[in-house]
Amino acid sequence: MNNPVCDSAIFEHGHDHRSGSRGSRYAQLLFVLLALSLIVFFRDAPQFNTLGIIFVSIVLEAMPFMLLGTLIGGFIEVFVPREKVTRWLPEGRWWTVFIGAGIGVMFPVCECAIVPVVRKLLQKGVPLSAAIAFLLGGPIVNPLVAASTAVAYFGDWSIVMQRMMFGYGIAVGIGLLMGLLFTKAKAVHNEVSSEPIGTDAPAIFGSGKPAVWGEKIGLAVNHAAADFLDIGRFLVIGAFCAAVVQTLVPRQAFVAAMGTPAFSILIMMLLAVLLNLCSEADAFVAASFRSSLVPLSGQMAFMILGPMLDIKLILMYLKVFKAPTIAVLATLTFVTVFLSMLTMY
Amino acid sequence: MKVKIQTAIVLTTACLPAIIYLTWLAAYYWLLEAGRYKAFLQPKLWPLLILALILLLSFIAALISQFSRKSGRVLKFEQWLQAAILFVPVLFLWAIYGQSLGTHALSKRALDTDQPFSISEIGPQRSSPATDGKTLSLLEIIKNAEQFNGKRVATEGMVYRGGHSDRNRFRLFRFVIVCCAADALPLVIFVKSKIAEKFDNDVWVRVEGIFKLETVKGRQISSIAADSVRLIPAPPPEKRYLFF
Repeated sequence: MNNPVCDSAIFEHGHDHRSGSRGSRYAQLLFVLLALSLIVFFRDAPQFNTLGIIFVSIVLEAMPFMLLGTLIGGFIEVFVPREKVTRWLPEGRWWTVFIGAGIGVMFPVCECAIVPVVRKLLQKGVPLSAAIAFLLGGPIVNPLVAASTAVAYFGDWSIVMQRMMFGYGIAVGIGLLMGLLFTKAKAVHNEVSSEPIGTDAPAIFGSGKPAVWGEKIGLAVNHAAADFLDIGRFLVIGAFCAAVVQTLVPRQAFVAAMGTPAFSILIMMLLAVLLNLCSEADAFVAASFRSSLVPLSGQMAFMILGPMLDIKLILMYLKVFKAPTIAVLATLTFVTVFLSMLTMY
Repeated sequence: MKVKIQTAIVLTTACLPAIIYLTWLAAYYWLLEAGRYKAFLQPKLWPLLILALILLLSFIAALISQFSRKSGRVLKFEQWLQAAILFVPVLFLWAIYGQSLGTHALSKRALDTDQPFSISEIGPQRSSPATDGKTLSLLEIIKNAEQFNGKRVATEGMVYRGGHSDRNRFRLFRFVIVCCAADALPLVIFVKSKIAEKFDNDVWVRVEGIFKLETVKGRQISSIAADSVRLIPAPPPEKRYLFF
């Protein structure tokens, strides 16, 4: 089933050339050269072992989720018509944000899988505010994260409830704010804000004749494969940055600086951004800080901010949002989580 | 000749996506085979690896079925760069397999190396653990610290001497993983022995002695007064970590 139209449409559409500036390409090339030189020149150093093990572990764990996310995105692309999406989640309705922040209950995956899905949902016409609410709330408000938090805190359901409620509330609040501050066209890249021409299944597989199921599935998987190549590299670079931080920065230095509650919250938030842990595992690391007398608000800040904002996520957001949008989104998220946790304390 | 080279480049560029997925498919298969993935991931995550294999296979099948040389004609540099980035973790996997987190990682992760981080608070205590001469893991000992207090235990782990350890003491440690090595937490027990100074950082030892739980400045410190400490070979990479 060789279909050049389909093939070139998928691999040319929005993948790389329009969104990749020259500076970004040089940065990516620099990353490859740096990584290769580390393998060649520092292979026997203990720091290299730590870095390599952490880097490989993050990628190995996140990649299946991301493959799944891109596959779901591919199926949304081919099987869900734009008209249906805009009927379910119409533009300009505030209540869509509340739905967006809670989709994670039915779609329990971590943050790496959500980014490619959000990209496709935006293409299909989901309002910006609802998509952002899903992006931020999905990795927290889901049953797997609730279960892992309960295990880490010995079945203390009050902590689980607080995590879910703060996660949901903050996702809704920031979704609404972002919807007020940005239009979709201003917030996301051009290829994300509108459905690409020529990727619609009926349009590709015959003149007006609807595509058969097998062909549609093939097309969906092909879309997923192309999307993964596009976003996957940002996961790799983000995981590498996280591994560098974990290798070089001692956690004790952070704990030593936690003098006041506000400082504890801030430092735990900084740690969450730097460590890049999966939302299904971060509760265990947060719980380990109890022995260092970090207040619950600090532990909660760690568990809420991490799934919303970390190095690898910021890099992955670059494939969806324009730089000013990411800057505002990151600032708003950071400030809202900080103020919420301060109130909680 | 020039045309042939050009054709080869175009063909390779067009095949790059499939080559990337094939490489990752081989990597995941290799990790799954013989449980090598346990050197990086929690054993319970094996379904995740199976999922990755299935998805990678379906991506390869879709790419092959839709294969066209046309895709090789555009964005050569971009596609090669993309491929290079996605190959980097595989190269690291090849370079570091066989290694594990050691004293360097411990020094960065332990929240307090003088009063080592203890996870005695994590997880409910189990009832009446058996100590009848069998080797216990550090996790079992620390989780059941109160039951083992004053009893004879045998355990294995790595040595950390630290910057200012006294001659008759070292720290015995292992890492415990929740999901992957990025979230690994160190478990540490002090070992008191007359021959403690014989052992260097990162070597694996088997320790036998009396387990003690002491409270120092409000914190519980675990230690073993060892009557036997001996070097053992490092376990295979997939058996070096403990798992929740």
